[in-house]
Amino acid sequence: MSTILEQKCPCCGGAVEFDIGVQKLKCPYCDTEFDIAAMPQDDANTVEAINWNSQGAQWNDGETDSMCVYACNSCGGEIIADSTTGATSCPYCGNQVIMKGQFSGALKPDIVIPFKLDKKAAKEALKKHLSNKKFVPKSFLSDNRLEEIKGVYVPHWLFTCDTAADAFYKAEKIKRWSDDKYNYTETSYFDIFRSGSMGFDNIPVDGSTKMPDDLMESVEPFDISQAVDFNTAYLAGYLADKYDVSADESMLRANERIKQSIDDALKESVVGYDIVKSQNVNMNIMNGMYKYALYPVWILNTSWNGKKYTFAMNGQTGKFVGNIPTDKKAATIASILLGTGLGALIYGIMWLIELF
Amino acid sequence: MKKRIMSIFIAIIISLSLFVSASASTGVYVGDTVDELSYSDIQDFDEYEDIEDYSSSLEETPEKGLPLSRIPIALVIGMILGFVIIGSIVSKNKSVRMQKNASVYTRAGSLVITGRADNFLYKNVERREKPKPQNDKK
Repeated sequence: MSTILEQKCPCCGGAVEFDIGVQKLKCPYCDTEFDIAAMPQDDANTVEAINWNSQGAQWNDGETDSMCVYACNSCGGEIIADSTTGATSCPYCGNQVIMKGQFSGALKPDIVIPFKLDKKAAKEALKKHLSNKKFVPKSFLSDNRLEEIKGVYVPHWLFTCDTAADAFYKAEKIKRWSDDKYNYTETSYFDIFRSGSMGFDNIPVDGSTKMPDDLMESVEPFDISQAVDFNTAYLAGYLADKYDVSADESMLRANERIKQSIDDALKESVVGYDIVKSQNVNMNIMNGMYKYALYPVWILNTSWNGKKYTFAMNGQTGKFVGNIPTDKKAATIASILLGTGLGALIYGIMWLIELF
Repeated sequence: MKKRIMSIFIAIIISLSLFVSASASTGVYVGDTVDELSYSDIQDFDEYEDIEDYSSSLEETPEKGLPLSRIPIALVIGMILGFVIIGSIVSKNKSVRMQKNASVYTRAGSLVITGRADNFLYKNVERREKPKPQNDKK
């Protein structure tokens, strides 16, 4: 640590200078002159300069690109949020804040499904979800703490289209018979072709990278008939994000689901065979349209044994989903006990059959 | 959980009792066999030179009940069933999964089959010889 020495006038405290004319130290403020030898050299005149060097990392290029700073209208507090955050609450005063720019112009959602169920219903649903599950560790039921519960409007892209497809299948017919000496199995092989058309309405695809796609698909379906035209007023009291996955990117997932649906539908028309296997489906999409919507979801976060568990509830229908840990030891013991009992039962049944 | 374990335990006791009675019946009791002689058996008796030959032929009579080698087979089947049943119960603890398709979003009545063709390719016939029954003793 460096120390800067500054000579101060003992009379007025001003900084003295060496005067060339008198060859002595002279205070420019009170004109007092001092011999150099007479100037006290004590630490009381030393002005400390303390330098702290930061060991923290600096923001890398691009790291702050996704961050935005807002000012709360109520308390003036600074809110730092992700660039996709559309509605949140002020961490200082709790006031609900809506970032209008996130839902304006080209970013304005077409429709929104308002929340129909409140936070209390979400908590009750969590209790019910945990109560009727088997082989759950007892400590999970007693020790897990609900850390966070938040109502979120999750951005979704809704896809509507007409589809035409050609599907190719391999099918088999199996016939069995026997005579005195032999058992016969005749397998006939077929090439199957089906073509057809089908329409789809409002297939939702999660438009936010912050929400796990499997969690959002698990809470489906939403009742689109209850959707209303978007208005920022619906967001008050809830969190909301704007999309950060574009419609073009979301289309890929929609295409996957559409293709599987039309494959399943055409496969159902292949009847009279014992085995039917899909070979190929060629699909065309016509009259495709998409809309931007906000869907209501309650997100509940708990933790147990150092792991986070996320549950979600459809804010409109109340459908509750979430993975629960399994007590593997108890499940294994139960499997062995049940297996032994069933084995003994099977042996007894075999004996009875042999007897009669 | 305790009720479940108790019910499984009771099922095991009942099954084991069936198993024990099945095992007990695998022996052949000559006294019982003599009481059950039918007219055809009496006819057979005439074919033997003396009663000792007839008694030894009775000892060759196939045993009643199941061989003990069926026990591991029954246990393996039981274990597989047990793990499958418990596995299906445990699988209900996982409810988060991607949707397989979009069938919920299909427009009602919009499916139209516009073309179909079923072409026969070829057939295979396999035959397996039936297991031969054990020869009757004479």
